[in-house]
Amino acid sequence: MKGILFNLQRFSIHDGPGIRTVAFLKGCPLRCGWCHNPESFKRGVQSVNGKTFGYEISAGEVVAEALRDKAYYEESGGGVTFSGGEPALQKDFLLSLLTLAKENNLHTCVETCGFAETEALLEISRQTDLILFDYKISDPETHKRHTGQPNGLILRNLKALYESGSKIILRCPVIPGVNDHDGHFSAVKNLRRQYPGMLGAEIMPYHNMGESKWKELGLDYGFAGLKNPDEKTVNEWKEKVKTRDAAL
Amino acid sequence: MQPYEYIKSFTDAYRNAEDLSAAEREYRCLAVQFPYVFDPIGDDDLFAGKLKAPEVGLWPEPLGGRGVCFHYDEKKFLRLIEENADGKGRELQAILSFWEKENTRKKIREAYPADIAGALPYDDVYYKESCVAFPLYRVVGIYLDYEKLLANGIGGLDGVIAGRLAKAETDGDSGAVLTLSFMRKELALFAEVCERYASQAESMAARAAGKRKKKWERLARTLRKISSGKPETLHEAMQLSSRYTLAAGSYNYGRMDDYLGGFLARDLESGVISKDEASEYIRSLWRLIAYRDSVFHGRVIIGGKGRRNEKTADAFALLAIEASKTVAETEPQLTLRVYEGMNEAVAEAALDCIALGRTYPMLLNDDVNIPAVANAFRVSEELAREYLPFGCGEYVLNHQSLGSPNGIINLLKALEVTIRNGFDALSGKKMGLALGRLEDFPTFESFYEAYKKQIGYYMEILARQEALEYEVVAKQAPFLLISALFDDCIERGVPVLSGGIRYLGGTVETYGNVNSANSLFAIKSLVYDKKVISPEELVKALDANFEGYEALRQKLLAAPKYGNDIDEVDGLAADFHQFVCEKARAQNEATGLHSYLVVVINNQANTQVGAYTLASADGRGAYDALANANSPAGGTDTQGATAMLNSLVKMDPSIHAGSVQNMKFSKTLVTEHRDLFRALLRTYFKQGGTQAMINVFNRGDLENAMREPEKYGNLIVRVGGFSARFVTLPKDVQTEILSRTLY
Ligand code: SF4
Repeated sequence: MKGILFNLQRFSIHDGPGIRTVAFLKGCPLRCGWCHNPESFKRGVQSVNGKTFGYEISAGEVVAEALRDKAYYEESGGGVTFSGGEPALQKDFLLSLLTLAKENNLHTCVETCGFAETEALLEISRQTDLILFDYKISDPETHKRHTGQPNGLILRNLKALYESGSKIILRCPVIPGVNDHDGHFSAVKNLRRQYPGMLGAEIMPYHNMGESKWKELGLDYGFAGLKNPDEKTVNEWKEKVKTRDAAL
Repeated sequence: MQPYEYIKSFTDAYRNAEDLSAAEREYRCLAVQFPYVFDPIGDDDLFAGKLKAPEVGLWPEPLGGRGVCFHYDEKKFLRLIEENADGKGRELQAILSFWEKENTRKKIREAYPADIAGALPYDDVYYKESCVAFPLYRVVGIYLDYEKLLANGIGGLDGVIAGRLAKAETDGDSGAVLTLSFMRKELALFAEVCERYASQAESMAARAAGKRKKKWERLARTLRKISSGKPETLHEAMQLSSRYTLAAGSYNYGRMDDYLGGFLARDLESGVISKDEASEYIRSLWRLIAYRDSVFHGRVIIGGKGRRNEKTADAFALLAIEASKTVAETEPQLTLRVYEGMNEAVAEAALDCIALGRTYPMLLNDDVNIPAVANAFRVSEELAREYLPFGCGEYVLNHQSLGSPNGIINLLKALEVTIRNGFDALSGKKMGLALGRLEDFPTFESFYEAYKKQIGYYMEILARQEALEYEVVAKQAPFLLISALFDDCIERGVPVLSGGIRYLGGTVETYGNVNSANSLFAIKSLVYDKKVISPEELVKALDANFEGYEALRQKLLAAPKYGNDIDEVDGLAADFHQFVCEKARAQNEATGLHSYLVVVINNQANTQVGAYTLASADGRGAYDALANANSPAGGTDTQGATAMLNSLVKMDPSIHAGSVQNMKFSKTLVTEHRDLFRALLRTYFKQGGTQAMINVFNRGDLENAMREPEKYGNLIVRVGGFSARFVTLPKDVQTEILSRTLY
């Protein structure tokens, strides 16, 4: 089974527990203005100004690459993460990746933006050890303005996954001027109270490293010039989503 | 004594010994040298331990200077001559001319047969001449038997020698009689130095008050005691071991936790000192080691298998690490031998120190290194437990072997002259074997064979040069204070370099290993397999330093590189590594050395010899630095730390005498993700990693330090096998360090 990746990154330490290899599947239904992987937008292999984005690869090859670091995963409690884009867009490929990873005793994470068919997500989650679920903006209108879609389906999917017993960590990008306000932080907290079995909520502070890629792709970056938040600010954000019973 | 008087006396001592034995000449010269070089004890020092580098002298390797055995410092001479325009100046000039002929380095060169003289440059000029291989003049890597020293004391040791001497006299073994009797005399010289220091301490004590008085009194007592008696306290043991190291001309301090751990435990238990006082001693010793400024040396080894008492040794090791945290100097080069099942507290303390960006301790993995050393040195694993790294990372067997790295080979330069039919385009001279031009080889295999032949030619020359160097040095001086603390020398009545030790070996420093492997791979895949570049075009592009060949260079750069866990290129790198190491290792028989082994170490020679190396087929520009030891070429490892480490462990460690791995990690990783950092190192070691020298920076530190050096005076970096203040390094070395990938 073949699929399309735009990156395969070893020694990742921010996408799930331990030392991990992350496979980035190409294609995304959202268009977040701050996205630092804009090459993930389109599902197929693209060529822009002579530069190619994405490549075809078999599930076997991806897992073989991931297996090269198996000893590191075992020592650190890591594994392999399938991210994107939105990996559920290549559902069949993703499922064969997950099956193959399991056959090789690899711990698996899937990072999803939540905007996918509920059934597909449930099917994926049954094959996955841990779901990293993105939660971006609490207000549906604003969500639509910044990502191209409202957040209703995303919230319904979160609920469905939670109720199906999936292990979930919430991943919350915080973008200065977009969602770095108390209303949003309380919404995150509320979700944690609503779904107390979730394993935690991570703050993903804005990073401007995507800016140059938008240009390369011939796209307009709406956040040009926006500075990365400093450490102090990030720590404040982290404090704001802590709940008494579920500290992370 | 003033320099002029000293120089005259030393030279007279040497001259007047013309008809005497080397042992007696050494003794007479040291009798002049010792009182001159030992500086008074500093006000803040807790030990006597300062030494100056004399204008002319006798050490296995002079401090800070180039040379070996009898050596002189030309610059110091010239300065003195300039300052003394009168008759003294003329006299000094005459003495300088004398030493220009009489120094040991000169004598080694004069002993070269035509083929060695033809293949190697006249001098150790790797930093300023274009050549494939160079000789180095020195005897380094001396690890003394401190156990023996401390268990016997000077008096006891003298007794042991006297006993052996009596037997030699009865046997009529005149060689042994000579060696052992002057060994005793040199010990007496050492005792005199201690007595002299004791007197200084006593007169200081008389003038001081309070805490200072106590310190001087303690020093006086200790120095009197160790001049003959057996040390009983930590202070005495530290004083005796460190002072003897200086007198013998060694730059390494051995398995310190092992030989001092017992003293520490006893002192603490009996309440002679507190833990804080012990720490103060260690910090003071650290400062004295740093003061000596031996740059590539100053090794203190802690941890590891084979220590007599792990518990007491670990307690000392913890204090040693603590001292390295607070004394932020580039020496001592604290080195921790790690192993499965070691004391976790020691391992954790080491990580804490590393996380501070101290570059220390360096980590060596016993689980891999012990069997590897056993194989490489052809000794038992039991004996291999005594392996110790010195200098930039070369192994010897503690007080049983020597393996001075006395040759350098630039493997990339060897490739450069091979593809040009034995011609050095930089100097316009013939160089090495003429085996054909690149286009003359129909297959990659035939070309690779030719390249191997070229390397073999130089390896053989270098090995013979090393054996010859030992031979000449042995005739010049027996180094009796060293011989007294090397296994078998007393028993055999034979000095260290003349057959006194069982394992007299040599080592050769290889540079450009990784650039050569990457270049070979590019040649194989682009010139031979895919035929997208013709051999003629490649050589032309390299001659032109890629000017006008930008597209071709891009192809070379795009070829897979070692360091990314890509089997095809790593496989070739491992095969090449195997060849180079085995070729060296096979030289032991012809040379009579116990072993002759490659060391894949690095000081800054990767930058220095790179400056005389043209553009290479891996896409590297002319004169750019070569990759550091076995580490990926700067910035070519793009697949993450695990991939880089996986590449490293593909190189067989059991066929060489040490290979250093420099790694750069971000402060965030080692502090905020400590568990992952720990897991990373542990796995690397489990997978076969031999060694890790770890730099820790914040992103941007090095760039900022280059821009505003005044703000980064304390930024210490691991250059290769030594650490340095970043801002004091030459620009090209700084750039090379910056180019390494930061994980
Ligand atoms: S969901 Fe993620 S990948 Fe998709 S656009 Fe948003 S940030 Fe980019």
